[in-house]
Amino acid sequence: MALQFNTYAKVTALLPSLLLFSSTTVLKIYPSSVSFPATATTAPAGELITFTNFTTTQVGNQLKLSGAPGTTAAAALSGVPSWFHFTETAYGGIMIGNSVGLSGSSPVITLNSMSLTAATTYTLLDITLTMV
Amino acid sequence: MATIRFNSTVFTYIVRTGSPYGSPLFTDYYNVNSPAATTALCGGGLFGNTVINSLLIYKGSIGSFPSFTNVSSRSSDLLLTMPMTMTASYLEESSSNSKRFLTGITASPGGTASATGTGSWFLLYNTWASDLTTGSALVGTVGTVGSGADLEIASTSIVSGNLYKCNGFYLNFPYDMTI
Repeated sequence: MALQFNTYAKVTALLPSLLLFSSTTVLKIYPSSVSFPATATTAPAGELITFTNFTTTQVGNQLKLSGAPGTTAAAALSGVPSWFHFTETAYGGIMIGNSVGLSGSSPVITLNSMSLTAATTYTLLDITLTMV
Repeated sequence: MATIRFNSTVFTYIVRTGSPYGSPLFTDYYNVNSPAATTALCGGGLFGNTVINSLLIYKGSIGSFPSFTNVSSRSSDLLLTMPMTMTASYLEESSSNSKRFLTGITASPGGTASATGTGSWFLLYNTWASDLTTGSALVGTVGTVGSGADLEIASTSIVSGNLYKCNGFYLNFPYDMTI
């Protein structure tokens, strides 16, 4: 059996620290042709789209996108999203993940399309990172 | 299953310093007056002069969260209580993909066993809180050296009246999470 933290530790200590990924965050979405990094380091080149104008908040045991969905950005390249890269610019935090999808599939990053076309505008619908 | 991967900076905030938005889970700061004292599982208490964490060894089946909500519910299985020291805990890089934190160092002279039995699991918890729902806590298995238990000790046979002391153990925090 693995070590187990209680809910208080997870919700009060672990999850709030992830609110580092809040108002000073840059979110980049990559295709599978850009390799998912072995370590969370500086964002590589080749991103399909970059979102910057959004904030996150804690709701219970989840890190969530704040407010109503509506953050938009124009795709830089055409392709299918595969993984994401958060850069928290104030403190140097980096979080990457291979969970990008559409509503209904319970991804960490929810977009309004999984087939991006360069120069077309897309919407960041949700961010949901659940601490179980 | 999704993989979420963090860099070491994030874990420094989570484990040692707390972020501008949260309190650290562990800390080597002497005084954890701020952030909240109920969050940390080691380090000093309010104003740096109060031991706020204890390491308890139990017999029987391991307590499991979230149903394990109150320490008293397993008092019949308690073998040993060891208050932890306020200092001498630290965070260090253990590899390129993890950090580890030294914790569980009990204060001198240690703890006297209150019952005799075979230790099988431990509870590390914040005694500043009133129960296991208002303060941080951690459970893990106890076994002999080489058993692969979370906490390995020379002998799991705890004898009532004997004095025990823990020199500390490492908790390893890999940068990857599977959700």
